[in-house]
Amino acid sequence: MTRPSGRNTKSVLKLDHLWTALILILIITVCIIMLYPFLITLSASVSDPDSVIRNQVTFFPKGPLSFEGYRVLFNNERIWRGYANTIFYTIAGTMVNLALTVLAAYPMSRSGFNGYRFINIFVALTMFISATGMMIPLYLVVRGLKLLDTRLAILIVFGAFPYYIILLRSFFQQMPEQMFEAARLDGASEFTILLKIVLPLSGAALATIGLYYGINRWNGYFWAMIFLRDGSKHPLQVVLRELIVLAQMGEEIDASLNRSNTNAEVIKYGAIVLATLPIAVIYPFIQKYFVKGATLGSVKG
Amino acid sequence: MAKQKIKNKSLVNHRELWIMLIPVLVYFILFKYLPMGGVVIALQRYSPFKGISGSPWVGLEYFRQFFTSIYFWRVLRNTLMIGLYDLVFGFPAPIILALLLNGLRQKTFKKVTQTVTLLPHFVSYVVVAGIALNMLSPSTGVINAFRVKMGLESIYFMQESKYFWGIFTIIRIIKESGFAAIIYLAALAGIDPTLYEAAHCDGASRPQQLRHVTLPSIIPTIVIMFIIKVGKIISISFEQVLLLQNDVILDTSEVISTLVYRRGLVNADYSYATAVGLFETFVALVLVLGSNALARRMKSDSSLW
Repeated sequence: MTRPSGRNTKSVLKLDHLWTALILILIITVCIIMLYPFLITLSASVSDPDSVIRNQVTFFPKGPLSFEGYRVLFNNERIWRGYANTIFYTIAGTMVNLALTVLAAYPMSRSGFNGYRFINIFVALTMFISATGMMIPLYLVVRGLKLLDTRLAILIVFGAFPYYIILLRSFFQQMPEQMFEAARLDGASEFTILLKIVLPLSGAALATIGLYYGINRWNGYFWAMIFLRDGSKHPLQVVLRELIVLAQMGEEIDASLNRSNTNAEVIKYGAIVLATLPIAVIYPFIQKYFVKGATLGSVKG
Repeated sequence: MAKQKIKNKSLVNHRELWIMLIPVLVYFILFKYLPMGGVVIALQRYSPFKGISGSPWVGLEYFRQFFTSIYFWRVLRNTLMIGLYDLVFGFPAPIILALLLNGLRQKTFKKVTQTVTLLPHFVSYVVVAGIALNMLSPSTGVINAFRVKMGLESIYFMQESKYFWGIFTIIRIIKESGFAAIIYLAALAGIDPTLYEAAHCDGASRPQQLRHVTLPSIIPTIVIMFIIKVGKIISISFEQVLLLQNDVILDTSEVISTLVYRRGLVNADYSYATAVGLFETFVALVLVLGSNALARRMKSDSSLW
C-alpha cells in the first residue's frame, strides 16, 4: 500500500493510514446508501405480506419466505404483455436508433461531402431546443401523422438523438482518411465503405451507443404513456407506473382508512424487482461500455 | 482550387451520401423541425379541428395570460429552487464521490464500488420513484418505521409541501452522482503520477497530496462542469418531477415542464401550454448558450490555471 520512501516520517504514515480508513468508511457508507433501497425492495418482495403491511421489514426478509406477490404477478397478463412490449420496443427501437445514427454520422464525417456543413448544422441545431418547448407541438405532429396509438410511433418518434450522432461522427472522423481514399479509388461505393470498412471497425463504439439507446428504450415511460391509449401496447414502465406510483399516491391519501389489500404491498415490491432485474443482472458485464461512453463525449465536446 | 474540386469529386460520392441521408432528413424534418415550426400555435387560439391555417391569431394573448397568472411565479420559483438545490447539493456530490473512489488503492474493491454507485443511474425513473414512494410511505415506509422505533411520529412526506425540494434533491443525488463522477474520475486518472511521487518524497501526507496535487489538477474540470450545470439550472428532470408530485403538494412541486404537460396534454389547452413551453425554451437557450460560451472561453484560456 505505501511505497518505500526515505523521507516519510512515522506521523505521516500514521496519518495516511487514518486517511485510508476514513475513505474506506465513507465509501462503504455511500455504497450502503445506494444499495439499501434495492435491498429493502427485494427483501419486502419475498417477505410475509403481513409483516410488510405492519412495516416490520427494515433490512432482511421478515417472517417465512413468501412468494405470494410474485405468484400474483406471474399470473397477471398485463405484466407479461408489458414485458413482451418492452422487449420489442427495446430491440426494434434500438435497431432503428442505431440505423439512423449511423446513416447520419457517416455522411457527417466525410469532410469532402458537399452537404457537410449543412448536415452538421442541421443536426446540431436541434440539440439546443428544450424538450419542454417541443412537448405540445411534437404531440400534435404525431397526432397529425395519425401515429397516435401505434407501436410505430414509439419506434420512430425518438429515432435518433443528435448527441449520439455527433459522438459517432467524431468516432468515424478519427479513422485514417487514407483508408477511405484507397477504397474510393478501388471503386467502392459509399455504402460499401460504410458496410465493409467503417462498421466492422466500429464495434465498440456501436455497442456503447446501442447500450445507451437500449437502456433509454427499456426505461422510457412518458411518451409511451402519451402516445398509447390501448393498454395492450403499453411497455412495462407504463404498467409499472400505474401499479406502483399511482397506487401509492391513492394509498397515502387514504392511509387512515386502513383498507389496503394484504397482498397489494408485496405485489408492488415484486413488480419493481421484476422491472429492475434484467438491468441489474446484465449491467455489471456491460458497465465498461457505459463508462467509455460517458467519457467519449468529453474528448471532443 | 480547381484541382481540389476534382480530387474531392473522385473521393466522395455526393449522390450516394445524400441518398444515405434521406431517412435522417425525413426523421429530423418530421419530428424536430416540424414541431419547431409548430410553436406558432402559441400565437393562435389553436383548435385541432381547424388546424394551424384555420385557427385565429391572438398575438401574445397566451403569454400575457401566463405571465399574469399566479402560476407564473409559482412554477418559476419551484423550477429555479429545485435547480438551485440541485446545484448547491447535487454538484459537489459527484466530485466528493470521485475523490473517494480515487482514494481507494485496492483495484478490485474500487471497481466493485464504482459498479454499485453507477447502478442507480440505469434504473428507470418509474422504479426509482416507486422505491422512493414506498420508502417514504407513512404506513409501510421504512423511513417512518425507523422514526417510530425511535419514538418519533410518522411523517406524511409526500403530503407536505415543505419536503418536496429536499426529497427530490436527495433522490437525484443518489441516482445520478455515480454517473456524474465518471468525468471527474477521468480527470483524476489523467493526473501525472510523478506529481504524487514527488509529493510523497517530500514527505506530504495523503491529505496534503489531496490539497496540493489532486484538487489543483481537477479544478479546471470542476469549473467547466459548474458552468455547464448552471446553464442547465432551468432544465430539471421533467419525468422525475412528474412521477414524484401529486395534487396535494403541487404548490411546491409544479414546475414549468409539468405545467406544460398538465395544461397541454391533460387539459388540451394547446396554445397556452405551447406559450409556456416557449418561455422555458427561451430562458433555457439563453442560459445554455451563455454558459457554453463561457465554458469554451475557459477551456481555451488555459493560462488561467
